[in-house]
Amino acid sequence: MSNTVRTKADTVATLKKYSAVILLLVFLVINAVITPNFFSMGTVRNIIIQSCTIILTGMGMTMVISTGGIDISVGAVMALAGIVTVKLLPYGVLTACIAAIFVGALSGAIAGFMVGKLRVQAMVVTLALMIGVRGVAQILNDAKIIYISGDNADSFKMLGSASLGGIPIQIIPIVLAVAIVWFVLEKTILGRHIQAVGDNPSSAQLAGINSTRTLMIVYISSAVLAAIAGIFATAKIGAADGNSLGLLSELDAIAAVAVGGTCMSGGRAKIFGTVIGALIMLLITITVNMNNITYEYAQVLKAFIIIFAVYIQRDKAA
Amino acid sequence: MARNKILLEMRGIVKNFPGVRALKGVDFFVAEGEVHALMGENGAGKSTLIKTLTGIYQRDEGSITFDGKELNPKTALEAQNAGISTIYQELNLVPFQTVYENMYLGREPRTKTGVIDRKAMITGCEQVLADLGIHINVTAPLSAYGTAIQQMVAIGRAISVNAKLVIMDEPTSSLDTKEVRVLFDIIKKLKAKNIAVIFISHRLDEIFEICEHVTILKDGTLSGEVDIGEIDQLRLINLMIGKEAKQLERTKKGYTLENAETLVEMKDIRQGTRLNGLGITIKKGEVLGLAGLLGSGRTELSKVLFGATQPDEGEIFWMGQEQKFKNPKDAIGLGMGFCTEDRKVEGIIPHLSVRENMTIALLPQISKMGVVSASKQRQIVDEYIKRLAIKTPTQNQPIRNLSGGNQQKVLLARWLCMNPKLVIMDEPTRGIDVGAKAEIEALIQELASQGISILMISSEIAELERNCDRVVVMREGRKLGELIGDDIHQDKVMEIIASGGGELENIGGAANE
Amino acid sequence: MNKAKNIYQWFSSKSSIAAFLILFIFSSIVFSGRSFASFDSIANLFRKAASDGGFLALGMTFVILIAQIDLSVGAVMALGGVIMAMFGAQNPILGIVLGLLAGIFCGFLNGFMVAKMRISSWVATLATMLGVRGIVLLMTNKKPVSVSNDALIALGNTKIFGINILVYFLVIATLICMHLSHNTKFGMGIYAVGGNEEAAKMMGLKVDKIKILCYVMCGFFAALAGMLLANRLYTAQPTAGDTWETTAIAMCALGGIKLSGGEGKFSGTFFGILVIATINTIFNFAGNLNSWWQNIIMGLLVLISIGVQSDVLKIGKGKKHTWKQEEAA
Repeated sequence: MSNTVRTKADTVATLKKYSAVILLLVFLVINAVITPNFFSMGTVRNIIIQSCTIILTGMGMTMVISTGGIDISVGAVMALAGIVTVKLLPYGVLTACIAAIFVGALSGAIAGFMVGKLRVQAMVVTLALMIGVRGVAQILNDAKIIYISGDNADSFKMLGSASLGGIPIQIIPIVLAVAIVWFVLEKTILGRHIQAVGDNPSSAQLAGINSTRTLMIVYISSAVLAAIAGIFATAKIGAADGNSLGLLSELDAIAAVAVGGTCMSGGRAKIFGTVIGALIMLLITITVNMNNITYEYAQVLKAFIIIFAVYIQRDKAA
Repeated sequence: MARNKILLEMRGIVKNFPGVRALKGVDFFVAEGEVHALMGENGAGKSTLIKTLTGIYQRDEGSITFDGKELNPKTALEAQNAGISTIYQELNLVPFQTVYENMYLGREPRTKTGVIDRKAMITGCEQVLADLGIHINVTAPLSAYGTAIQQMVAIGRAISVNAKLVIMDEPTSSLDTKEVRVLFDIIKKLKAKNIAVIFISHRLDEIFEICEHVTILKDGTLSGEVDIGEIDQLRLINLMIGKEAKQLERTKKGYTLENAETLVEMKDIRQGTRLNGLGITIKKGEVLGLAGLLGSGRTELSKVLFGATQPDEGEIFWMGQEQKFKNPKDAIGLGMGFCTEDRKVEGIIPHLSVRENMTIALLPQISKMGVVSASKQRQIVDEYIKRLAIKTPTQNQPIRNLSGGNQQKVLLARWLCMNPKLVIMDEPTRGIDVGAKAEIEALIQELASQGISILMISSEIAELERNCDRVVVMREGRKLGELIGDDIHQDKVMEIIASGGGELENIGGAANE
Repeated sequence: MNKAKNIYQWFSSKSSIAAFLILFIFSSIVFSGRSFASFDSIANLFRKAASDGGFLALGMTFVILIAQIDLSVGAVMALGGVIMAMFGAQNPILGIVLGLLAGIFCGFLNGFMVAKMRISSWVATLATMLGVRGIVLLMTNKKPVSVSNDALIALGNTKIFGINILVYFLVIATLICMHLSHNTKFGMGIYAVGGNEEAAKMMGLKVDKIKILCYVMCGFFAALAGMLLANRLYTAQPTAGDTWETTAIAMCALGGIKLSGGEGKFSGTFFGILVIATINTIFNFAGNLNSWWQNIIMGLLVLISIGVQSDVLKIGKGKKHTWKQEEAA
């Protein structure tokens, strides 16, 4: 490629492609200048702990959005998973977690069936699930916050507070989720099918792809990831709260996906884009916190960053 | 026959698309109150010509004069305001709104108080439709009525915005015989009001019945312009699809497949009004051509074979076993592949790379536990890029950045890499330059010699003549005849098509029962 | 065939009324000993409908009819209430005007981003939601602003014939929306844009303008909702309307407003609002019943209503391109 002439359009395209990364770097540089003690282990730990939920749900959301759909039930699924885990703790941590993941998968299966088989709009289905699943969560804990106690409480809480050589345990689900979703999307048949279904459904069908099955798997995966996020969040807080756990998580996830450059109309999944999008959102919060600025400024800034990032990455042709 | 004053005058229209010159300087004239047929196969430039007229495309060269004035429409609305209304194939109306709302959208009458005047709209709408001989409940949603009525409403709307020229893009394609009669009555009424009609259709009988003048396009150039009285069906067909400069020669001699085993047999396939009970057989290693004009049911038949649509009636046998395909996956599983006519809509997965597009159907075979073997994938893709001489910078190039010919080769490779028994090729050389064309045709012969059967659909009969062992000639969803081996000849195909008219009424009737 | 179809259509178009009546009659019987069907409890039910998201749903209907979504209504609602409370202490009219203008501005911003900048409505209104909520929290320092002006308080608490004034406002607002959607060019345009945007463009409608106007209506009603709620509660909460966008969307879905756009009526939304208010009231009555069942019931109702109202096996209708794209290749 050395002898190709770089045109202005190429440069713009390259800038566009890496705009999320550039944005992240800009934030890092700003922080290096203004935030005292920014580059410290404490900050890294903070980022890892806080990014767990948004990256996990963001991975699921990236898959869902790249099929051209949306899943706004992830926050509710998180809450339900948290409650189920805490309720079943006496039967063992592993049992409790598996049960929670199973319940999450069930919710995802309902969404996947209605979207993939019955062809109902993803938005309506997941809206109904969002309301209903949170209702189930609230009933299970009687609308109260359940503090974790009893037999397996301490070992479960380790899922929230343990660290490996100074690195918080949350790094495990984060790395695994990103790695697995990346692997699935880039290396497996399923990954190709997911993007094909989102990119051009009629071509996909004529190439022999079963879109119902693909969508089922995608929505189940999204719900399972949300359930795992719910388990870790519950362990971190040390209590299960059906009312507020995961509230608005779906919107955080959508924001991360959008800022990461995944096209909202489907067809292209940018896994690392979502990770970067999530980190940008998080960095804004952390910057504001570490500089003792009122948190609400972060919120306003996030609004601008979302619009800015999405606008510059937007496909002109679309 | 003396023509009226010329209403529309398009001169030297040129329209370029990246890599393609869609219109190469076309002249097109329509007189006042004239029913004018615009004909040509897919890719001839009809749609592009109409779009430059209606403001959807901007022409690159040439001039348009309409009603004595220079016309340079930038939007469809400008063309409409100038007096040109278009009735699209896929109707441009709002299905959930009532008939009368659709009639008046964007120009609602209002009462003195500024409120929109529904009473006036209802009576006005009823009046307009009554003039056309249509009496329906105009307060029902448009979607409550069939395509025919919806089309009438669109025509009514066109008339009531004082159109001087109404363009009808394949208006009869989804109508039954009775509805076609009603439409023709309406066209006659338009004519009586001195409104000109551009009529686009592929049904020759209709053209001869309703139109006075015909303009034929071929490959972006004007192929003919005559009074309908001065031409017969055979000559018309000739102007549309005949007379290709003989750049390539028929390579085959005779018919050698008498004793070959039968791979596919389709019997008495019926589907809506498009397929009216026809069957074909394909032998092993045979190149079977489907000839016919656009709308003859060629693509529909092949989609039924591939499981993309299901027939209302009929049987399909694959190597002697009856099959009921629920979806393409079933057909692919048996060893079929389908290169679709419309690559953009039904072929490529635009943002995925060449590699991924080529191997999308093959993946299960080169995967273990769902994980794709990247090295095998690369190796296969490399092999086919070389074998088919696909021009792409890398395997990772998104397929939408490739030229049409190279996209087609990738799609062909998608099936070839699966070791298929049958490949369906719908217009395999459409929009591809001569060099690539020869390559693809050579490839077809090579595949056939390896025992792969090919079902080839083409509007260029010369192409069928060169490549096919046998050609089935279709018209209006029926099989008119079959030519074998050296009998395959452009003139004979066209004769058969032309001879097949006149039975339209029966077909429409039968389809309705 | 046609008859069955007609009956089905009638039923599905009236399903929100049916749901309301069934729920109402059911609870009247269940709670017959405790006078569910009394004037007071009905008046209370309507008051709930008006104060708990009714206006948001009306505004949301405009946006859903054009096949878009607005996540920012809850935040805009808080903004309207807070601005009115801050500026209305001395001069109530100034407060009201500024509050409404703020709502209109937010709506315009959403509409501009969606129509002109072509940003997905999910992302655009999500950003507005974050930004506006942040601004409201900053403005108030996260503390409630009390509504002290008597005129304003009266606007939320006066009873006419024993019925809270908010109910009258909601009815009037619904009637105005019905009028707008039924009797004006704007209204016809909304349905055209939602039903077939391509066709609307071809018919010469100013599609972008209609979209922006719909968002402006949505912002206006959100601010109005916030102001009336603040008046009723004597205080404007900066956290008011948090997550209410979901409720508003559910009300629309229950009211038969199709989320694919172009179909549904404001009268439907009105009954959708009543259905949710009825569910709330039922749970108030059934004190012994776990009140969180109401979320489950709401979720189920939304699922059932889309089942009844939509031909679930058909998607992707309308919105097709009119020309085959082949020749551009």
